[in-house]
Amino acid sequence: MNDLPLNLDQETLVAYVDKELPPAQAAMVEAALMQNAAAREAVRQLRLSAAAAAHAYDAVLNEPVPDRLLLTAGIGGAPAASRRSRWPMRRLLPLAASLAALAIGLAGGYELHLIKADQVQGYVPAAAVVDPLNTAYESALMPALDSGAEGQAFAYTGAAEDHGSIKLGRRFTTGFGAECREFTRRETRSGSTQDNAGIACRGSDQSWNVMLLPRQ
Amino acid sequence: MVDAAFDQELVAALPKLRRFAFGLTGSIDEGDDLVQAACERALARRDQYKPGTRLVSWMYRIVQTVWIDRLRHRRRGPTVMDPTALADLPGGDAAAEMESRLALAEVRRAIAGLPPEQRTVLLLISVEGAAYREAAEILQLPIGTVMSRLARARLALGKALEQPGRGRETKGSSANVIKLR
Repeated sequence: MNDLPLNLDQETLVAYVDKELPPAQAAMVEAALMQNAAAREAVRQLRLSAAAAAHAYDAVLNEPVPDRLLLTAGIGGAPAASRRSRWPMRRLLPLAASLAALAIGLAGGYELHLIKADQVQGYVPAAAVVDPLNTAYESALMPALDSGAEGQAFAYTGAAEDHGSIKLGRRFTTGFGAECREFTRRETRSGSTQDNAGIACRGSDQSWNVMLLPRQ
Repeated sequence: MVDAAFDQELVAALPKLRRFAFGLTGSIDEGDDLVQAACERALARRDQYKPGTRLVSWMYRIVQTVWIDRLRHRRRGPTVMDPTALADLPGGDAAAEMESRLALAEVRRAIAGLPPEQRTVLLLISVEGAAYREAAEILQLPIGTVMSRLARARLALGKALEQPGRGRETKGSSANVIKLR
């Protein structure tokens, strides 16, 4: 900025309002403002427009992050060189009810479209009620994802007559190098059977991010 | 574990990146597309990230460069409607809520009318809260350039808000030079 004569130009006033001037210069500007009504008015307007801009996009800051972004960010890119012996399964955050559609860009232009929100069965948060069938499913899914061959099926059982089977689909790689697998699950719980499709992508810490969907 | 922390920091940065991308594109959906592309690029270039530096600053840069790339490769299309200005209002003080939403929508419209280089600087500093030096580092510009673009942006924004609906760039640099004797 300038020395004497003091120019209260736009840049100086903006920097003053933003508290970016060194203290000595800020003091000089304040002294000059006391003498100059037009400059004071300019400062007033600058403060107003700064405050308006600061909050103009708050709506998006306070809403849940769309799941496709969570999935992309949570995958974490290419796996690390060393493998861990225990690969925990990491749950995605509970799916937002307002999710419309989700697409994962894959290498070679392949696109996998997932389905509408009201058909999606999200993951149960860890604090939820213990569910033996679900626990058995997760226990079967982890090694299946890790080393199962395409087309291979893995059975599991829960309490009473509850049972299920996971069938592994193809492996694929996302556009940014993450390893993923498709799978399907058929589960019979309290006598009723449900089919689901799923995708699991390996995070950089070797854990699997799993998303479950109804079969299309 | 460093790798897990990277993922977590990236996820934690998403709200701010969405806000920045919304400001750049003028549309929430287009902004989310931008953030997704930026995340994919960031993950592909993960080795370029310096641990210990602020991941969100690194991501702001990537969002901005992906956006500039997209601007270059696309012809100017129709302006996307800002959805939030017309969203259903909740109950309560509808009049005040409406006024507030329209005012913010007006600000967004004015910002969307700024030329890209001014818009970027204004969003980083006045919306994302970056210090001038931080913005200069993110954009890899001299701090003087940042300050000059910011000043022009704030001047244009002020003028656009005085005259709603006219969010055009004003030609010429800072016109309010007040000399003291």
